[in-house]
Order: sequence, then structure tokens, then C-alpha cells
Amino acid sequence: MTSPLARYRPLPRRTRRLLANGLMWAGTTLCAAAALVPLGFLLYYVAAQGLPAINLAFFTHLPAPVGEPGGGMANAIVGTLILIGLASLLGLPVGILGGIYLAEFGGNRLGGAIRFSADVLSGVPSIVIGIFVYALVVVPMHRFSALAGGVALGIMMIPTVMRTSEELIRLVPTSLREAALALGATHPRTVFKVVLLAARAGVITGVLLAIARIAGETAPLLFTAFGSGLWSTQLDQPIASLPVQVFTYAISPYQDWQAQAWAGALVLVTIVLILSAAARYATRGRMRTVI
Amino acid sequence: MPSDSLSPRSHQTAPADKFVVRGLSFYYGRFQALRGINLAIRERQITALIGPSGCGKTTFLRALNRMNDVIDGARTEGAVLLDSEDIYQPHVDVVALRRRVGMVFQRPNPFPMSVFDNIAFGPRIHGLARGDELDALVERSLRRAALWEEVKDKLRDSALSLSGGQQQRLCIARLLAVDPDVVLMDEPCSALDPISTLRIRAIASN
Repeated sequence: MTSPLARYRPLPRRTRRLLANGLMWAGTTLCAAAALVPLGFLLYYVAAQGLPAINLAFFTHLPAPVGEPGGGMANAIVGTLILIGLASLLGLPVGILGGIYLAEFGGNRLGGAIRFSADVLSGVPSIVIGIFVYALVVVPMHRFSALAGGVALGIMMIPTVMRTSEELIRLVPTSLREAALALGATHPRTVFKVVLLAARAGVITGVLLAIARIAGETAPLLFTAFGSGLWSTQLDQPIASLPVQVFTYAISPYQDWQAQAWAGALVLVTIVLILSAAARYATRGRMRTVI
Repeated sequence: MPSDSLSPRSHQTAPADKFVVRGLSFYYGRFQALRGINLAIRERQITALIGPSGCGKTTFLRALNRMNDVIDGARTEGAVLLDSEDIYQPHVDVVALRRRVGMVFQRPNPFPMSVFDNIAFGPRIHGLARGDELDALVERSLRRAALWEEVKDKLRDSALSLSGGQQQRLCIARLLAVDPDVVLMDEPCSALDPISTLRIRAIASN
């Protein structure tokens, strides 16, 4: 006989658990999917708009004057690569060595101050960095230049590279450092030959993500590298870049320029996707390396 | 740890003292881990330290090659004489000391590189050997650690692909390659299976 009070009891535990499980599963799946929807639409839209304007000339030709058909963004693609190279020359050594300092010797007040500054710097709007470099490089040189653009992007890379390097170097188990020290290795040798080796996948990932982040920056380039409709590989001259070219073309009133802006956007997104994929590829074995 | 819980057990007749420990105390911040230890360790012998876990065995061993220096807020008192020279004197070169007094840790800690590079790490940083000489040294070290037969065809593979017992013997071989005066072993078999344990015991007796 069931008790007459049975119906007032809470649901049997198992049913309640299954219900909660189902609800949570549905909720988390939905939210995860919702996060992906904008990315999916973005990729689809950029591809749909950009693909028709992509052809060989786009990669090999200079921009055509208004009204003339054809033309490409060859100079902007090369320009972006040059700017990334310049930025890396400044951002990677400072970022990686700074990360090593923070991880190995950063337990003091100076380390705390550097860490805090890096966090603030990574939050500084990119246009502010552009203005800063304008005053720092462009004004003394009396002209816009690839160099100035590289400095602006390089400054933007530093905090990302520094903090990810620091975190990943910290993740290297103490036992590995001690193994090297117990063999009579000096501290620098231990850091450069063992710790960095163990952390390399993570450091590379941080570098690639930092590059992916600056590759699409427009604002800091507007008054540093400026932009150019010509071939230029000289570092003291203004240089074209994909983001600025896309910006210029997209706000222009001409339809074929707008179409090319989409194509430029597609190339940019593709570069970033490739870099992100490379970052994932570099990290694939990390869980085994850092036990 | 009270000093009387550390009892050296000698198996042979007594040669000279390698280490003489005098009034050694050690603090992790405010916590005192070692209290006034006096002990002599003879050369060419196996000296075993026995005690319950947490009694300070590891701390004591790490005091013998100053691995405790790495720890923040650690403080050492007393003297540790190695060949009658106090290793805690300020002028002592810690790096050179650790080369002479090597250590095998509780858990195997191979470097994330190939088997060969693991063994060659020490000889390379100390400039002991190169080329064919280095190859020979690596082989000799692996043989001394009874690992050669198992890894001779995998020298280029990652050391992390070896089993736990092999990794520990690799760490021993890595240490033997720099030819230390003293080998400190911190429960090297606690994470291993009985067969690996037997092998490591055999290496130690050699």
C-alpha cells in the first residue's frame, strides 16, 4: 500500500536528477551554439561577399585608379606581412624575454609593477597606441612610415606575448628545473635549455595568437603606416596594409572598391584563421610535455 | 626531525668520511624541518636514511647539495663538510657543488627531449665530451644504469615515451654521465613497480 502522502513527496531522486541533467545539458549546448552562431555567419557572409572579387589579379596587382576595372591589393598583402615582421622584431624579444623575467625573477615588487603595466597596456585602446607612436616616431621623422606602423603593432604585441610566455613558463614543473640544477646547470642554462624547451609549444601559441590579433588592427596604422596605393617596401615610407586598405575601400562610394574591400576582408580573416589553426597545431602535444 | 632518527648503516669497513654534517638545522619560513643533525657519511658506501614520511629525509638530502637554496624563505644553520670543506660558506660555487653531488628525485623527471639528449645534457653543458666520445659516454652511462639494452634502438625517441621505471633509470644514467662524486637518491623507487625497484637497487650496489 502506498501512503496517501506519497503524492506530496518530492519527485523520486532519480527522476529529479535526470531532469536536472537534461535541462543543464540543453542549456549549456544552446549557449555554446549561440556563441558560435555569430562566427559562423561572419565567416559565411565575408566568404560570400569576398569570393566573387577574388582572382589572381587581386594577389598580384596594385590597386587600380577609380573607374578602372581590375586591380588588386598585392601591395597591401605584402605591406601587412612587412608590418607583422617589423612588429615581431620589436614585440617578440621584448615579450618573450620579459615573460622569462616575470616567471623566473618576477616575485618582487618590480615584477608586480611590470605585470600590472602589461595588463594595463593590453587594455589600452589601439587608437591611443597609434597616437602615442605618432608622437614618438612619426613627428620626429616628419613622415608616416612602415617603421612607425611596426612599432605601434609591436607595442600591442608585447603584453600578450609577455603574459602568455610567463604563464606557460610557470607551468613547467619545478621537478624539471631541479633536475637541471642538480646536474650542475646554471640558472640561465636551466631556463634556456630546459624550461623554455618544455614551454615552447605554449610560447609559440602565444606568439601566433598575438600576431593574429595585430594582423587585423586598423586604428594604430591610420596615423603611423598611413597607407599607400603604390608598391613600397621601404621602411621609412608609408606602406599599405590590408586592414587600412579594407577600411579605405569599404567607406568609398565606388562599387568595385567595395567589392575589393570584401575580398581584402576575406584574405585577412583567412590569415587569422590559419594562424589560429597553427597555434592549435603547435599546442596539440602540450598536455604530454607539461605533466 | 630529532638527530637520532637518522642512523647511518655501513656495510663495509670504514673508509674516510665524505660528508660530515654538524649541527644542521633547516627552516621553511617559521617551520623548523631539521633540528641539529650530526652525521658522518663515508665514501664508497651506501648510506640509507630511514624514517616515517614527513620526517625530513628529503629536506636533509637536499641540504647536501644545496637544492634547498631554491626554496623561498628557507634558512639553513650549521655546517655540511664535503671533503672537509663547508659547502655553506658564501664563496662556494653552488653550480660546481651540484655537479659533484648529484641527485635522483622521488619521481622520474626526464627532460622533454630525446633519450640521447637527456643523457647528453650534463656532458654538453660541462663540455665533457662531444662527437664519438659523447656517443660512447651516453652508451656507457645507459649501460651503468642497466637501461642500454631497452633503449638502444630508441635513442632518438622522446624520453617521455618510456615507462616510469625506465624513466627513473634514465634519470640515473643522466646523472652518472656527469660522473658525480656523490649520488643522492631520494626514494627513487617509491613511484615504481617491484621489478624496476630491484633493478635500481642493483645499480646502487654497483
